[in-house]
Amino acid sequence: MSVQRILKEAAESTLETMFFAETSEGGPAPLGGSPVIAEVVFHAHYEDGNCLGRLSLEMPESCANSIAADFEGIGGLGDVPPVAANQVALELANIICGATLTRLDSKGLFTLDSPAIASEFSKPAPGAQAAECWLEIPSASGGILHLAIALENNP
Amino acid sequence: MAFRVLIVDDSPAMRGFVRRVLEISGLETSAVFEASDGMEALETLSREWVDVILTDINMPRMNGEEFVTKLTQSAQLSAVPVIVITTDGTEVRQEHLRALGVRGYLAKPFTPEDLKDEIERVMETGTCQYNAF
Repeated sequence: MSVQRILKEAAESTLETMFFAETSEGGPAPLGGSPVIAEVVFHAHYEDGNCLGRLSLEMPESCANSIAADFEGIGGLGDVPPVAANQVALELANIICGATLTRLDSKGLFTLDSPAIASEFSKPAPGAQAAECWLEIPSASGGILHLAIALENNP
Repeated sequence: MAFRVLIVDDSPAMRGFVRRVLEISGLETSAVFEASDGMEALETLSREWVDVILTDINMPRMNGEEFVTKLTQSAQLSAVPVIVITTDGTEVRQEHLRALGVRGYLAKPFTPEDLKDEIERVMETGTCQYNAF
């Protein structure tokens, strides 16, 4: 299975299971305003070598607020504290990253650095094994999620 | 039986989520405590007893593996069942956690039913059920 397919399945499963959000396949779309961007750096150790990688996630602020409200069980979007949207974006990136790496090789081993909010969405470096996907989240306001994962050999 | 539960996770969002999932899963709880890392969890356990501990692995100051090791070295706390909730679902990690004495394991993403089932399994068996995770 391709890395892109694995990334998409991990994201769909995470959003539907823990964030109570149905998804459908989307395409590249402008996110508008200042999107919420979260990143996770990881180190993976597989039978055929070691990888250093990064998972990046971005979504409109309104989408992050909507997902945060569902995740935290907050009634209205207006009640979502500003910090909650960032915290939930970090957790979402963390879970999708772990689920993707587990699916890539369940017999491997990986460690994740603490997820961090970023100011820019990271494009994979040239030569890296990379994949990206877009998901629509119809139930969320401005519901679009952009994900990218890059793996570089790290002997 | 109503359980006393300790949730250990450095993410406030995740602690809140687990607390809410405990509520909606239908599992009876009489007290739910929270700690942001292993050190804070040990402080909580020095004043409160709990029936089960739900802990993350990647945490600052004292991570989940160090925390579990401390528990197993304690005469008072080694019997408290620990369920690890983690993003890492690899077989290597699961085997390592079993060796440390962890009794339950839940890989994210998980449903409220998954959490309830794992807590009930661990509390009912009372001993390690290695084949189950």
